[in-house]
Amino acid sequence: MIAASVRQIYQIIFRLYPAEFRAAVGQSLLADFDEGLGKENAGRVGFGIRQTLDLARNLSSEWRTPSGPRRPGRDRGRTSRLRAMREDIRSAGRSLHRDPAFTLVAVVVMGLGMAGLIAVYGIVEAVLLEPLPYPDANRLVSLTESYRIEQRKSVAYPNYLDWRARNRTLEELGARAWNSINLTGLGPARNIDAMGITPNLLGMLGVGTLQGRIFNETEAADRARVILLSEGFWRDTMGARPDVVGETLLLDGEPFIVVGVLEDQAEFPLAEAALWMPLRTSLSSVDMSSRSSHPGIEAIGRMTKGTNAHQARLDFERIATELASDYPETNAEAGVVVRPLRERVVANSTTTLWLLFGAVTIVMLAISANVAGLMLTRATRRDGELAVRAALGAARSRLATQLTAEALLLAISAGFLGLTLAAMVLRLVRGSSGLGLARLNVVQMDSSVAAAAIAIATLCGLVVAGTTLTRLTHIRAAATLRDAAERSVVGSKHRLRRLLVTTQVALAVVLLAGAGLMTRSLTNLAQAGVGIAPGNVLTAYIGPPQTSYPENADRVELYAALASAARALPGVVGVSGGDPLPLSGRNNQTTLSGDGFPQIDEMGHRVEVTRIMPDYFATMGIDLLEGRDVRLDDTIDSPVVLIDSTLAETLFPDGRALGQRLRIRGPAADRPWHTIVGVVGHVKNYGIRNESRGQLYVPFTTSAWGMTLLVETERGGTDAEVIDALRTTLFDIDPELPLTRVSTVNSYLHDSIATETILTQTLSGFAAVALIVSIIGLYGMVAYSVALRTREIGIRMALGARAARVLSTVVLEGALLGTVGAAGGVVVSLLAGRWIASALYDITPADPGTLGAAATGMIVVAVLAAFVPALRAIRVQPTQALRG
Amino acid sequence: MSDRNAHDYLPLRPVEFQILLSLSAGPRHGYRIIQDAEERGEEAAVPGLATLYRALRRLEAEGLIEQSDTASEQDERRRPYRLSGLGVEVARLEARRLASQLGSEAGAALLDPEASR
Repeated sequence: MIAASVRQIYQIIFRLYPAEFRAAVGQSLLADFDEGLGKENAGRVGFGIRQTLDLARNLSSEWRTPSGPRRPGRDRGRTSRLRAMREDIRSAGRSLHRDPAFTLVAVVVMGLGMAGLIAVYGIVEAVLLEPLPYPDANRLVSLTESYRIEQRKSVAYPNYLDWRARNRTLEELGARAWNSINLTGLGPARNIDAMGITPNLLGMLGVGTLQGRIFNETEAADRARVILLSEGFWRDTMGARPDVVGETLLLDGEPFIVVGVLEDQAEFPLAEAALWMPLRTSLSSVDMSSRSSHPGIEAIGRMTKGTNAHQARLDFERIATELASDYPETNAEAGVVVRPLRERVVANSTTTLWLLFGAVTIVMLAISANVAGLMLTRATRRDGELAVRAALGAARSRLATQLTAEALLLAISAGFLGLTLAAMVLRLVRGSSGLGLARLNVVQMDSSVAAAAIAIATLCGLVVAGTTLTRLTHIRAAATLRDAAERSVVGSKHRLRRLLVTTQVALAVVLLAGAGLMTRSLTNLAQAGVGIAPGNVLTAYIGPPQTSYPENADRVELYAALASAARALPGVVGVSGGDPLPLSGRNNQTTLSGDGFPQIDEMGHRVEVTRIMPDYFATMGIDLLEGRDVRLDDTIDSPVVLIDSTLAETLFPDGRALGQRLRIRGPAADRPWHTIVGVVGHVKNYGIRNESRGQLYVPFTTSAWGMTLLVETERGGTDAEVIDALRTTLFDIDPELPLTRVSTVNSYLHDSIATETILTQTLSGFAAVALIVSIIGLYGMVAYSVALRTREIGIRMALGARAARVLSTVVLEGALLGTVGAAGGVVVSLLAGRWIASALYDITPADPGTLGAAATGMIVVAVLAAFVPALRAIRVQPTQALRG
Repeated sequence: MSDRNAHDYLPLRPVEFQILLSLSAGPRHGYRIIQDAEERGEEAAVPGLATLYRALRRLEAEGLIEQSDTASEQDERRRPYRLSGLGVEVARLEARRLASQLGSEAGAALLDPEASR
């Protein structure tokens, strides 16, 4: 075993040799190695390791001087140059060791910056750059419907069938639809996430089974009750039993036969499902012949070779036009949205991630400029040493090598620190949810991240080295030696250092402005609100299956019983219910018509509808503007509804909505009239940034499907005692019914701005780092120039200069650096504005208040940073300064 | 390379002399040369394979050794090396040089410290 792996390593190293060498002696050498490895029984591993070391040792020599005819003398020269380089590196190490404070600061600061850069790169790489793990992933597209201004509606089943039949750009088209389903008979009843899929979807994605088979086209067409389990479900719920195929599970009370187990799926479109069933089976309760019913279907297709997304889009535009003329009443204004699968998955995360990447790059640049400044100070202090060495005959290239070696040693040490920290950060990110970013579950530290880390470290090292090396051009042995005692020349020598400091200041201002804009944007988002203001409200979903609750009355009775039992529980303030909830990602739409309504389309006026229990508006904190709430005695015999302010304004511009009548789902005369009894505030169901249609509220007594129970608690949060009591209460009423999606309304609110929050926090953190770095840079620069001018200041003070004057001269220097840098930062911010614009809400990237505050703040900080060295300057004793 | 005198190759590197020494006893492939060195008791100076083959390539390029056209009997992947006329000459010169060093009074003392006391 060990011998085999040693042999593998040996071969890998050997592959690094020049091709010519390998061709000439490769076979013999490897044969010899095998013979040696085979013969020396006891010492095999020893032989292997000895030979591997020898192979590695000779590697660089073989590249430098390919074994061939010798040219006398030449070889030796190379060796000594190599030895010299090794000495330079060793001496660089010693030199850094002698100055532990500098080394520590530089390594830690650079390491932290690199950790950020490497970690964000790792995320960007995994989320945005890595292809989805499917064969020909770049040919996969997602297809959804659009309807007027509404993008990304789910697909009506008949439309999906027509897409399949009529398209000319896809070689395969499948579909999926989520289906939440109750599992009973295996421990306590619970709700699981199932997915209806077409069998060809699995083929398209190249997903194989661990056990059994996938269901076939016949089963799919026949709505057979067959399921595929996910590996996770099979392990956790079925105990990873090998004989699971053929078993029966009870889903919503119906028996389903397990036909296979699928490998676990980490990525869209199959991820997070516990089990899969044929699409047509999962749509059993839906009207599959209606083109106006959109039951959550998303189509996934694979384009034929050589087709691009644009061609596919044109193809589907044609199909949409055909369908519009074939079925004008439903498809007149329907379109098809074709998106490459990856774009579909990461679209919302792209801006956020590139912004983070940009910000962390700026931080790293600021840090590099800072460390370059520190190195420069050291190099200046070492002018004497370098000059002596130059005078004694050290080649300029040797000095350059040593300075470069120092910078690279620093950067590489920092790179190690950064890589270690970044690995920890990435592990945290991988395990985190609720950041609102796609694909975080596939983030990992891999070889390409490590390679990027090496590149980053080397680049930083070279940047730092490059600036430091400019010192070498100043070394004129005689002049420097003479001046060594009175190095008070300020002019051109420090131009570079000033440039570095102003760069840091400018970068810090850019980040401060960015963080400021994001903070203001977040405040705007929070203030704008979605139209709800809940207290401590728990949410829990109940989905009674149609088999055991066939009539509306059965469900009404269930919810009413549960609500009144829950009201009696300790710690509960009030109970209501509503479904679907705002921000929950689910929605339910219908159409309205009525006498004198502005005719919006043939089917009437499309609205979002929520089924509610009494006290819904009070519990959710939605304003009741006019009229009354629903009551338990609002029955199907005297149907009532409430509408939101948006709908009231559209339908009844004269402001008299109360008492008016409307019909739901089509203008047909058999539809009952509903009376409007109240008007409430508008709610942005899809978050603040997204527009929402007008809203209709119907009492659960007239139409009840699944229900989200809203429980207002005393203690708040996900109160475990209340949740346990609720479960027991529900179990007493119906032991087969699970309580699912337990959360709080506030966490829905929080999640809806999670991305903005995390982006604001991260940018603020980066801005703080850049600010601190630039303060250190400013302070260092001013302190240094004060130190150089100690003599000059001493003379001035001796000649009667006033302290205030000296103070202001020094402080002015800091203020000047700060102002120039801040101005530069504002310019860069204005130029870079469009990058951040799409992440902002209700504020422009050029917001003068924010940019002004960032710039002014920076200048104030610059003055403060200059104050400390300035105070030191006026305490200079003239006698001391002149003597020193 | 033929215009170079055999003397021009002296002194040889240790690994080069080890190779020439082994090959002077007959044609051999790489690993046998290492085994020879081990048998001679040169534990500390047994060359590694990569070192050996780099030296073999160098010596071959300089015309001190040649590779025979026929494969070795035990292993068809390998073709044994043998000394060229120039190689024999260089090996002799180097052996003489080393011997004369050890034949000196100081050399003898190094080899047998007891006797010289």
